[in-house]
Amino acid sequence: MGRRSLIGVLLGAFNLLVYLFLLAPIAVVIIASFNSSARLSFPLEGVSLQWYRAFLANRELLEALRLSAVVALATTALALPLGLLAAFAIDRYRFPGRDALSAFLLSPLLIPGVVLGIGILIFYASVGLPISVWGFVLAHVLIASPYVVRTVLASLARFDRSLEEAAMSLGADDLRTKRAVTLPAIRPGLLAGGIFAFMTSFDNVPLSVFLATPTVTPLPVKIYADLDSHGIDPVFTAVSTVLIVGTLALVLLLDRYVGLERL
Amino acid sequence: MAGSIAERVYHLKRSRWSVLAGVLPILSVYVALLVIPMLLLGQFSLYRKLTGEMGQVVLIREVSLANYAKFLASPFYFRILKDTLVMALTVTGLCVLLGYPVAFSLSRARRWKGILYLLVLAPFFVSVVIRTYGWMVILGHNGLVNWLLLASGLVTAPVPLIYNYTGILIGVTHIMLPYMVITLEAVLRKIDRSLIEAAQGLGANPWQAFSRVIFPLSLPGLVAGSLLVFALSVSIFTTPSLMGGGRIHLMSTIIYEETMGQVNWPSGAMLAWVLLVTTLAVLGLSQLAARRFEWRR
Repeated sequence: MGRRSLIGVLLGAFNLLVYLFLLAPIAVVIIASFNSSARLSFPLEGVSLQWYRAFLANRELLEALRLSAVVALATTALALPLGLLAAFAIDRYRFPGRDALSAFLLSPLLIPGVVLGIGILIFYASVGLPISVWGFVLAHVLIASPYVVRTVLASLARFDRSLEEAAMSLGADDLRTKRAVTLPAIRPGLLAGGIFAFMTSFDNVPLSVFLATPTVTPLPVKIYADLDSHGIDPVFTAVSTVLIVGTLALVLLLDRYVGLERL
Repeated sequence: MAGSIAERVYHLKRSRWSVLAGVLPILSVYVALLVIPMLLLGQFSLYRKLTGEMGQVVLIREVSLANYAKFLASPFYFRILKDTLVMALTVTGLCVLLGYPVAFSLSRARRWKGILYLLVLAPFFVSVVIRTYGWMVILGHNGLVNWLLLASGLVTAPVPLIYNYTGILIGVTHIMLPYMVITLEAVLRKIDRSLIEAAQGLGANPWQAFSRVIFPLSLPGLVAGSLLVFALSVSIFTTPSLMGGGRIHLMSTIIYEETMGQVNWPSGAMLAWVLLVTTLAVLGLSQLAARRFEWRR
């Protein structure tokens, strides 16, 4: 018995250290964002909101945040219907090449972001498309759609089709059945797919870094480029904290309505 | 019955149109942004870049294998490929060591399970660039770890923990660990507890119950998690780029450097193809290994 509890204590301590490792960079950024000294060095000194003020006064960062939000919203708005239609076709019909098609639709998940980035850069240059919001949106739709296809397919697989038959036998036509029965039933999948699509677009660096210009830069690329050329700038603690709080709110929403374990 | 054939033809035609209508929109996006760019990448990898007298970039649109010959002949590129694979392998090993005990405890947890699960997943939902920034703040010259080390008197000068290989390993392991824990936990959770009770009933001590019953049954999760982490680590860009600080190059960072820094698109395209083929080979092998594993069971 003594040996067993010793193992338990050791395992518990090890767990604690790993959870600390997992959460440390997030916790430290949040704590350091309220730091009052001019440089970000430890030990931290007093408490202040100076980095939040610096963030709100920084036109470039705010513009990057706005661009990221617009691109992510447009990406989600396009990826959702595209993924939904494709998932429906794959779930409901038997046709040659069906398995190959669903594998192909998920394939952007497997291709390195930098490979897609340089490929799409060369493509845009070849067709003469100037770098713009739409350039980012189109590229992001490609990497966001697989998530929608996957989550909607999973929802459709769990969906009991006799419910549709029941609705039809009660006199609802095809469209009305889909709208009143099928869509509400797969809403968790759509919600999860939408949130994944949004976050995929909003966070992307490896692909976007190839498409960004000094004037058109999404926020994560802006942070990446500044860290890469100027090192640690304390203003990013405030930017990061705002983003972390926003994302955690999304995650809690996802957990409440979908359940993270089901993803 | 007379209408049945006509009806079936009608349904077949209708379903064909439905499939097309459902799939064509997304396929057109994939053709434009995946198929064509990959083909262009292949085409550009056969071109060459020349720097003109005024320093301007000239693209030689002549098909040759010169870039690939350069890759094969260059110890520089070869070392980068080797470093990338070794880094991915090390990260996979670290994720197994750190992730297995956590996944095991998580699969046995009764109370707090939801919260623990959320804590494992939380980093997953925080932007990669922000997490890497967090590590720069913790591990940097004036960072938390160096302050603790200096304050405790263990060292007399700050230890370099970023802009080197150590930093890359810490940062990438942090990004990959949730993938490992979740894949492992999903398998561990399904192991029937009565098997362990049976083993202990037959006189096995906890260690024997673990090593002879639980561990072998968890191998599929271990294999799946390791392959996933390895494949993702081979191509990860943001974290090694920032943590390496331009001093250590991996495949993804050298592709970015050649393409955007040197403006050598043909060379970047060649390296992108090498990385793509490497990644797909790893995934293909993992598919094969997984099938073999299933078959042996």
